[in-house]
Amino acid sequence: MAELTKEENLVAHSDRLTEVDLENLMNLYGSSVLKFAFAYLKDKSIAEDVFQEVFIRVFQSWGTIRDPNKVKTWILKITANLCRDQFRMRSRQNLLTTSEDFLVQIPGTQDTSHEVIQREQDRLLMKAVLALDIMLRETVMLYFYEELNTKEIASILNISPITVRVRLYRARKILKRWLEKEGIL
Amino acid sequence: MKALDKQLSRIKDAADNTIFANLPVTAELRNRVKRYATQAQFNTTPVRKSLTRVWTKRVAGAVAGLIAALLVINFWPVQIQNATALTFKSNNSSDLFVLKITDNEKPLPLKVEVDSANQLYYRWSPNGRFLVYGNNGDLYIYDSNTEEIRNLTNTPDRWELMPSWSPDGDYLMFTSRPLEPGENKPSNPGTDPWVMQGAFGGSPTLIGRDGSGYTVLEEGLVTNPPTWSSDGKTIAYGLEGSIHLFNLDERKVTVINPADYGLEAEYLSAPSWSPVRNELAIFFSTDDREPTREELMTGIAPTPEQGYALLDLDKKSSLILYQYKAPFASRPPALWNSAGNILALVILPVHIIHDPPTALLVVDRDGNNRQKLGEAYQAAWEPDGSRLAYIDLNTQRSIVVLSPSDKGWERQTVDFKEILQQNFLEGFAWRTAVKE
Repeated sequence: MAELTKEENLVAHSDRLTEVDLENLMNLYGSSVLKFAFAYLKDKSIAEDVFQEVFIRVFQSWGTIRDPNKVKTWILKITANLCRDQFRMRSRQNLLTTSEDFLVQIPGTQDTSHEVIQREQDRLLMKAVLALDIMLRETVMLYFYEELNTKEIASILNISPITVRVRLYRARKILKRWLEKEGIL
Repeated sequence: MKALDKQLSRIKDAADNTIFANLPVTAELRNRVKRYATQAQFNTTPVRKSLTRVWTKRVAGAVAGLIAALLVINFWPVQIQNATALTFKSNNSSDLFVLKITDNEKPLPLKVEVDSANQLYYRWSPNGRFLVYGNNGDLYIYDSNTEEIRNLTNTPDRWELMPSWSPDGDYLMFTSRPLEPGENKPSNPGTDPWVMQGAFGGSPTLIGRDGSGYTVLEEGLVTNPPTWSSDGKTIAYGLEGSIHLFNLDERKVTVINPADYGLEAEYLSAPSWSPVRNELAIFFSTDDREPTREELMTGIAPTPEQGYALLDLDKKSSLILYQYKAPFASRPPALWNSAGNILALVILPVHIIHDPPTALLVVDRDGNNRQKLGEAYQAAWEPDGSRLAYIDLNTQRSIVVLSPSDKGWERQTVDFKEILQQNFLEGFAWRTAVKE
């Protein structure tokens, strides 16, 4: 019999998670959750609060997940829902972050001129991604960063696969214009 | 690889090098989660940072939203029944709005809640009185005469999508499937997570407008709305790469063999029945293997011949309407005008690269006069009319209404910018003047 993956082990383990299980889940998916929330809300502190809420809900609702292949999309779906709530609430109260201070450029230890150019291009690319409307941004991050397919993204965002594809298309057009303006293309 | 795709393929590295460079999942954060999770386990109320703070502010926001909604409802007219209108949804509201094209300043809010999975799939009945729509896994019917809303399907253990009315408006076809393990319909849709992880679609299913006779016609995955023959006796749907014709009188399925029609194809889907003839517009492809992400991104995906064809069910012949080579992807159904002599094709992006150019095409039934009229997110012909409306793909903030004339297609743009503000159009449907 083939060895069980970590996800299969967790799902097969029990309807309830232990603290160790929760730790394992945070090891497996915590980084994706925190990054998605940060790209969505552009605020580290709120992203950490979303992270916390996501894993508490995972802990409480674990008995409802049965398919080990869908643990990641299930967790990202909870993340997307919480991010959306936070985004709506904060935009109503004008509490959304507009600063771009987090667009840091981390210098390499032995930057060559090629690497310096690449890093500046990376910074401009992410500036363009973060400037996208939130609906387009969440779709772009799930497709290009999490490398999910359109069906998985449709399930996470609770929209039809057609809508996912159209959002990717529109984001691509906007990014193309932006990158041309910045001289990268 | 094109320069743009090369840049986009760098998003992962670029994000790690910039915005995610200082974003570790710290031990403190993990411990916080474990502490609160343990509290939750023992039914104590966890005091959580920040998210709790915002919750306390929610009440004021909700009150303000309610006041704004009441002002809007009081200001806008109560009835728009005796005119052709567009029903639309924005991404800012779960409710629908109805707008007379001639009076686009004052949309009427319809208090029907449509979830985001169903934003392209609500339809008015042929007489313009009833609206069918999906929400939280069930289908509902709104009666514009009485303003009553009824749960049409009411199935806690199934997910229904993509309804289509029979020509007489007495029946509906849609897709349905059982919930998979781990999926749920939220009992409190506002707060509970909505988990649908399986396929978008299901088995072809029939129901009466009064909710009677819920019948799954056959098991299998249908991913586009089923389509009715003009006499209402047969239903066509694409099921796992084949077109099935279900005769309602005989309760018998016929599977179309493309070779019988002289069509070379491995895959057929998205049938659309002519409103006046025994003809089906279908999507076809000579190969049905979905390319992998790597094949697409590196430009080595196979590009089979595919496109739209017309099948004459009486003469057993076929006619290619539009054909292209691209990585395989199933496409949405062609759209017939009410006279059955022109088809509209919405060519949407499916794969992010290597697709045919996006377009709203119209083509005569005989395959002539193919024209590109724009780029559409969603398009629909006016029922009983000759106008074609579409949501502009690039802005998603206007609906273009095209009217045929001697000089070609006359264009009227209904601008939703002021109504939508920062939001976008997420779907629309035509509504005819109500016929009693």
